Amino acid sequence: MQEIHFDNRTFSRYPAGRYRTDGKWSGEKFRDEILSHFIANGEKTTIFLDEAQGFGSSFLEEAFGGLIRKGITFATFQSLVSLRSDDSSLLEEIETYMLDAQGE
Amino acid sequence: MLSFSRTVKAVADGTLFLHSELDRLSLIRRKIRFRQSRNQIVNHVLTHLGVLQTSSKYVSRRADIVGWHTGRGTDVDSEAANKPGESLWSRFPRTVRSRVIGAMNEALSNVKWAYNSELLNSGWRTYWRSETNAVCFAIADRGVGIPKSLPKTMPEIFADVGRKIIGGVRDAELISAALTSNRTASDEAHRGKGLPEMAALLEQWPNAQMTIYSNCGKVLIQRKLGKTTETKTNSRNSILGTLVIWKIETGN
Repeated sequence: MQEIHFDNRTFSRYPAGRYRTDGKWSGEKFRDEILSHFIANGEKTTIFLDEAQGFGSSFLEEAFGGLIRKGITFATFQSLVSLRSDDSSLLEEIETYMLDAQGE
Repeated sequence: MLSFSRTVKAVADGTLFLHSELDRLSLIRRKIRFRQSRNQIVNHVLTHLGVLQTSSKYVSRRADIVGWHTGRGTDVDSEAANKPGESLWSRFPRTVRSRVIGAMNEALSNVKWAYNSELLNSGWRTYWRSETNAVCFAIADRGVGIPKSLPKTMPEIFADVGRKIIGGVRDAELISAALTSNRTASDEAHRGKGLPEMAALLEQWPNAQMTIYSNCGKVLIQRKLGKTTETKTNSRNSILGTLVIWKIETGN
């Protein structure tokens, strides 16, 4: 089981922005450089969201909704990735972005 | 020489925007000289913001004037924008704090639409302040303003509001429409959630408000005892940029 932490060692405690051109810790960067690799390798992964100071919708939509637009199905994501947060609305928000992207 | 000699009052919203402009100017012109106000409170407020920092006369700080913690940058740099307010975060529950920072991050993302070219990009300034039972935070930029960025970011909103308003499109109406929209007409339908998310933050508290000044428009969204109202105002003169201020009654 692999773990992804929003800390300064793995990524950043301050993720923000949609595209790489927006800033250093964007959703696109997280998706392409961290998340996609674990999924491509078929590794079961847990993402600990609460270590981040906060997320904006742009980051979350591009990281998770963008994953679906890149060809990963929601079912595949669910089978490999477990999201951890004390904030259930954050988990619902991410799921909404992924399901919306699947419907686009 | 910039003279405050006739300034008799420093209103928080205007003072923040003035600070953002002076901060921008200081990047272009290293030394700006100021003439102090005859009003000592005004001088203390300007000292708190660093405007009159070279004046030793006002270095001692009054307890009745609460200082702002400031940040600045050009990219969507959440750490630069939010960390100055770190000492106030304990006033919010953990999950709510995450929403506050999320809203600020979306505001930062919107700033990229405010500048037509990188050459003109003077970035953003953020402000955090603790008040009795409340926390204030704000973001300012000197870009084209929300109304002028809408043809690019939300063309359908721009066209729709323009059709409805007799006598020409007015900035407050455009800002208001953008706040309630949850999509853009761009072919990327997942975009355009930033402004509504910034407003939705207020729903976390029974008493909170957000004020957006952009060009000639002002939109005030107030939440009192769980009820939300919106007030739109247009002024004759543009502030040539955008200032968004949240005031949250945290009760602690």
